[in-house]
Amino acid sequence: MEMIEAKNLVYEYIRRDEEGNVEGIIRAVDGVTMEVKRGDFVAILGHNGSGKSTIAKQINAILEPTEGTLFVNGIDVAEEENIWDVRQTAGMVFQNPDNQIIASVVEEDVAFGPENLGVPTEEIWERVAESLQAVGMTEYRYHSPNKLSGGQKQRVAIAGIMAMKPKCIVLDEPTAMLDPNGRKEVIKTLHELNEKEQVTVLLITHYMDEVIHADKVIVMDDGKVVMQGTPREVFSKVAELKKHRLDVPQVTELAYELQQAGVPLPNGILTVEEFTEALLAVKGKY
Amino acid sequence: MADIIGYVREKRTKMAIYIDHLNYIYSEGTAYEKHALKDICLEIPDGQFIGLIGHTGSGKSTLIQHLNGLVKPSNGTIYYNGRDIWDEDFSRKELRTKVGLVFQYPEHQLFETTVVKDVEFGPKNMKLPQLEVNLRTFEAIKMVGISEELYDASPFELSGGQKRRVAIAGVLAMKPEVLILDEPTAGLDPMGRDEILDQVAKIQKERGITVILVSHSMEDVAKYVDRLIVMDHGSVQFDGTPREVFRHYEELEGMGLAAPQVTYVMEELNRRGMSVGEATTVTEAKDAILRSLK
Amino acid sequence: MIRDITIGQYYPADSVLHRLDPRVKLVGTLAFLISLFLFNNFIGYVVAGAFLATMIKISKVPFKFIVRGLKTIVILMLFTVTFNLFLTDGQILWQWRFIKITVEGIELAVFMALRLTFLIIGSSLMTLTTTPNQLTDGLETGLAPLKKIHMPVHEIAMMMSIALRFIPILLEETDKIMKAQQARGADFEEGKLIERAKALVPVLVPLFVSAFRRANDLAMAMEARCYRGGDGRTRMKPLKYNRQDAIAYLCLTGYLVFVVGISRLAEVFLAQWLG
Repeated sequence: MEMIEAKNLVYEYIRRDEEGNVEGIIRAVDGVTMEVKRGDFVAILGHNGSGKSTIAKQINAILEPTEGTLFVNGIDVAEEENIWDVRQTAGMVFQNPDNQIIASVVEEDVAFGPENLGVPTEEIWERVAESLQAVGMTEYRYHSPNKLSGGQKQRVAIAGIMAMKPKCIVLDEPTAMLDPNGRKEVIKTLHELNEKEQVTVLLITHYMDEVIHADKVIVMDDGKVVMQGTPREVFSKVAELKKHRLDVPQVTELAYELQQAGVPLPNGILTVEEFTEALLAVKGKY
Repeated sequence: MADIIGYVREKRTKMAIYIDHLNYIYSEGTAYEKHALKDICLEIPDGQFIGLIGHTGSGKSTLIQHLNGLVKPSNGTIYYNGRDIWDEDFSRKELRTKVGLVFQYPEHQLFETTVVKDVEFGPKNMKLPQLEVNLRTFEAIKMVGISEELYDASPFELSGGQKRRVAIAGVLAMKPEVLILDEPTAGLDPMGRDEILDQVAKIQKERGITVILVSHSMEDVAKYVDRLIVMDHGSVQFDGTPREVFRHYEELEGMGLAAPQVTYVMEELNRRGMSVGEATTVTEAKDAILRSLK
Repeated sequence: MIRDITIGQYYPADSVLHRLDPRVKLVGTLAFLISLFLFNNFIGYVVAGAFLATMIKISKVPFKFIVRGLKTIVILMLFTVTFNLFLTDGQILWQWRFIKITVEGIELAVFMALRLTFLIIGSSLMTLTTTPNQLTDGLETGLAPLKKIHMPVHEIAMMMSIALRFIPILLEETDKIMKAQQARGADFEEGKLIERAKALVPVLVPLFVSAFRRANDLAMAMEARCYRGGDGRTRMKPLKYNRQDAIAYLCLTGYLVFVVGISRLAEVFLAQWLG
């Protein structure tokens, strides 16, 4: 049993006019079949409007599948009575850090999830302390969220999900509104949680540099899965990525451009070190 | 001698924008007091394409709000075409039409029922004749690449990228001489980002105006700008061409910024004995490496 | 400008008053406010003033902080005082046409001013020593019995705490939208009242749109964290009365009995002395 299993998943937004007549149907998710293995760090890439956020909401049972099946840790998300189980199993972090923090004090916000689950008071305190520790925000526990940076707010939001002891965290473009420092903080935190707490991470983003350490990358366009594989496999297809309105890290692009100009560099270079090693090796042959 | 100094001063203050020892202290006299801008001196000549870089809280947003008179300096002077913008008889309302400022997430300020009406807001506030208002409105909408069938659509029904372009058109329609954009690509995907930046570069070239692009991403702006100003802790740390600024990549890292990845590639190659020179963009790096291989 | 408005100002300090259960402070403030209307002579005000002064001392909140709250009601205060001073019938001290000052007028004006001052200081002392969250918690627990008559107590408290969290965010946003529209030539300072009201449309529409977007996001985020109303919820910080709260209730009762008693006594005494 995988952590997340989708088979021929479809989601249709139905647009209605003022009288309630159907004006148009948009297939945001169009026959997606994919899986996320237990304990993996998986990234879904895609431009805005590619359907990646809709899938995230389906995994969290906020949107119901129109067709197809979706199982989270073996639980069918389409069953009405399962939704709270699903949400506790796959916690979700959203894009706007301000609009998901409920309380005016950091520790009280982290406690919100466990309070909703009816966790006894003493255990809430333990969970809050553990979660804040796990995201490195312990020193801010008495602060007001309004005074924190974007990256810190997102870490508080992640702690709020961790306090519900989920098996999997789904993050819907958690870094889109952050500056480079904030983005680094959040991605580092996610990798730590993945490694130390064995939480499965499903990161949805359009920043390529955030996914180079992922176990698996899924590329979506037009509601469909168009590419998947390890970051190296996916990034070796620069032209195809560009076709799907995506970028590649600058080194990957540079290597690709040089390849096109006839320099025999290997495919899928992801870091500066890999690039220089490869280029120096090639240079010897010149 | 005094004449020469006077002449130089006059010439300098006649630059489009001249900032002279600008200081800004936020919430002065309260517990939240913060020295947000420290002794900023900058010259911004006509027609330059400038990148203003710094991480959140470095003072860059506060600085640009001074340039069109939205915020009053605690001390120091800002000259626009040689005139102190806080002079009693200086119209800051008029200044704001000359120094156009597009805020971060500008789509959040859209309020009208149609795209055209929203873009008209600026020129109408300038009390221009209706014909001129129409001309400017349609020119601006066209310039940002919004197609004709959307002119009468509600701005709230557009996609994120389209909304942002309409909002930018709203400022362009005032025909500013200086255009300042605060993080115009925030939240956009790579393609949306490139589209907006390409459009801004095109407008800068066509109209010959000064553009100040505020960003926290070096990679995004390096390709476009003539000059980079780097801010940290409320003061200007570096000011020069991208190439000059990126030489300080170690200091930049200390400020929570990073030079473009290609800068590191070139640096590493040079260090390992392959002399490739400097590069700030992928294309430059490619050419330099190919030259060195031959 | 707009950011200077602060609602539910809290002054962090470590005092007995800060540590008290919010319910005690709510009940206490209410009792104090009511007590101000239970007497009508000088002695009563002295006792109430002394009680208030003691509370301020205990609270460790600087006096100037408390006085700051009075600034907002200066106009109201002037209005009440003038009204009472010039328009009360009684023993005339000075008269000019229909305007007259009477002994009763002076007395009433002074009492009203004191009453208003005490009222404001008393309630701001509560908000200064209680965090907004404690306050809503206090209300929720304190009003819990009303659930029996189907009052949505939990929902009201939740709404209040969310409002408290988002007020600063929305104020900041208002500031930003105003600046953005000013950058497009909008003018909020000049023109007639109607023009000024019209000038607010470009601020209010985006503000509402943003507030709804935030509300929508927040609702989704709350659901994602398994929020399903007040039933079955536990709390990280449940309210529990302890010794100091009991003592506080005793002190409060003491004050009430004392202030009412002594002002009654004073009245009887004065009546005898004068009569």
